[in-house]
Amino acid sequence: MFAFVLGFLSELARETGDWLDRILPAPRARRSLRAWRRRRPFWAALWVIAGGVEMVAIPLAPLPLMIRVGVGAMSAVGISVVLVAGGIFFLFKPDQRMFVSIVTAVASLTSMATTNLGGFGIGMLAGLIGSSMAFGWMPGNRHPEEDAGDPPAGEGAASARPADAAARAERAAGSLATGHGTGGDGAGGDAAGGRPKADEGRARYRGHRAGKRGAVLFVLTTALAAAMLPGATGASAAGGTSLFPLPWPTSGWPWEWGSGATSSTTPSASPSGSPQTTPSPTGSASPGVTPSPSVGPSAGPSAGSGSPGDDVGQGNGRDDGSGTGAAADRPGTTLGPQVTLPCLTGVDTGGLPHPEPGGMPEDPDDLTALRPPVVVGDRPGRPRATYPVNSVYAQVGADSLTAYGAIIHGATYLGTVGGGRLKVLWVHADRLVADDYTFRLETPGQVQTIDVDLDIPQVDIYVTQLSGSLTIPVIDVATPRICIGADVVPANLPIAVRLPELSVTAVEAGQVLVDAETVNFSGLSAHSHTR
Amino acid sequence: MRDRYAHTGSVAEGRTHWRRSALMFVPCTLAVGALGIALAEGAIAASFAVSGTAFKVSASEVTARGVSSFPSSIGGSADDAKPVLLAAVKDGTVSDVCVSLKQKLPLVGEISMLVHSGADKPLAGTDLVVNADALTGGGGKVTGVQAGRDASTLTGAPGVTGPRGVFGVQADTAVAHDLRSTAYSANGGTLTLEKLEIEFSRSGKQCF
Repeated sequence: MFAFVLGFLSELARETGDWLDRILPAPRARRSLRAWRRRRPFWAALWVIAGGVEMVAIPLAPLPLMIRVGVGAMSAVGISVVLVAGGIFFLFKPDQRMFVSIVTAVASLTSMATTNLGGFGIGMLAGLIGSSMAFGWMPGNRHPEEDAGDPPAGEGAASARPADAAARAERAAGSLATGHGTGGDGAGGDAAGGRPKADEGRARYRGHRAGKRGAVLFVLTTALAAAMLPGATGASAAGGTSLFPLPWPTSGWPWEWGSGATSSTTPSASPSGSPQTTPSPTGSASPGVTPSPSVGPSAGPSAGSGSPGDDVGQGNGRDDGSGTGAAADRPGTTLGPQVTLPCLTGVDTGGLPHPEPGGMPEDPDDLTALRPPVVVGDRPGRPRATYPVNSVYAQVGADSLTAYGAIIHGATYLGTVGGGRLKVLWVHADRLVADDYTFRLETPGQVQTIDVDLDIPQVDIYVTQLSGSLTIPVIDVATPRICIGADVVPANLPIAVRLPELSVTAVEAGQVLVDAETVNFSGLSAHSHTR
Repeated sequence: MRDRYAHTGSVAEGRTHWRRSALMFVPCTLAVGALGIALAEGAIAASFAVSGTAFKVSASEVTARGVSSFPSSIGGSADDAKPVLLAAVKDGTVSDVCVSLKQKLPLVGEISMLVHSGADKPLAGTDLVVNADALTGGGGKVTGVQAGRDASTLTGAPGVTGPRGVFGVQADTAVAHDLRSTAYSANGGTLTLEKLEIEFSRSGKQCF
């Protein structure tokens, strides 16, 4: 039965082969290619190379990221290189197949632990199949019984004859039936044993004929291997689903440098980011006062001055991507008294003359109820942050912000990486509670938003400007919206103002840095959007 | 017919001897089985690097030590770049994690894969880098926070830094509950699995 099935299958394969041979063009080229193919474990090589390519293609992570992540991710590359190299060895050094097949088999096995369970099993399986096929490949043993009589013509031609196929099938069945399969095969191997070396020698003589084709194939194979990684970006540029994502805007591929994809690296790109969010920049952009880019200051203050009495709930419109301009256009819903105060940021003065830097930023009346003791001498609280901050800072808002044990340090400078600096207001709080804190960070091409409730002990906040309605304790009355920018406050004054409790509602700020020992959060929701 | 292969002469044409191949294939298959059992039991740590399509991840609790994060994008060109938040973790644990992935395959059609793990004992991982575009969490606690540090100077997760001039966040430790995220890529140094359950379905079942 088994013999019958085998015979039928080989007959079918042969018939199909003959048919294909008749209809396909270029018989001469195919014949010589076939001859080349049959002198080496060709299909084994294909399996192994396919396994290697699959393993590195499935992670789909670009090489720079893999290198940064470390040895773990690099193993995908290493193992696939071993497999591809093994496949090339099978093709061009078939006499070394024994050792190479063991190497590729071990590499395939190792991939299971190191590379996505071996490319989700597929690459590992292909590698194992290919390795085993190469291990089992033997030259000069296509048809031993024919070879004995008529070596030159017999080998290839014999495979075409159905009688021979049937004979082989019978032989296979017989050896299976007698239970010593390896014996039967071994005998065949022994019969051929003398020849393989001689055959391989002759193959080498004939090698120069196949040399050109071999060179072409070699170039193709190496090009394929080389294209595995670089092909990543090309494919993702073409396909919309980003099969090969590139999570490193800066580290982009060399041939992408300067194409605009990496523009986020240059801080100079940021100022162009937000002007459209403020429909009416007043243009008095205090040159030289702050070296900071204009993303934040122009957006927040204009909202504040445009509608001084914004109600408490206004902040919830900020995370929907509509921008601060929409908030500014909205008529102020009345909660506090309708008093227009100048927004003392030096960037947007609400149409009023620019105040002299150094003046007291807030109306002293607003602070009387807060009992502000003036501290002279050592600065209380934690020392100022010493690491470099980013130059593209975030617009943040909160429905309400309550700081307990606040220390207002005044204005100071924080350094950026390029040697620049940002002037910021520096506030410390023993405990800061923010309800419905929204975070909006705009970078070229994208917007990151975070919506969360925060409770932060021991925090230092550095902002470019801050606006909101102060809530006066005890009588619980909200002041009109007050806006204060870092640029109008003299930097590094030797005083610090201590406030036991400070409540601000409808807060908006340009948040440069938050440095905290601990952040407790709840109701976190973070999203990335395309602009 | 007979001289069709005559030009090949008696060169060392060969063929694959399947029983010989089995000599290698069978032991290797056994080794794969043993490895698979060891991985599923958590005896050996596996390494991961996946990305391409969005996949959903949920976990009841995540703890992490050494966290760096900054806005990034995946996709080759500026036009089809997908904005994401990159988060890198030096080492951490995940409890009761579910990963689901929907994929359209050429012949099979749309198929979804769900992976559950760590219901009894948390998974442990090192050097994880995740690109996520949405993240929600019930609550948690982060310590040693520096939000606003330049992304090129981040030190939370070793070796992972971002572009210069970009808002970066780093933290010493983080604990978060009931996390849900849509992620685009995850690259793991190592991940010690725990009772892996993989489920394929064609009904479009997802983690959430």
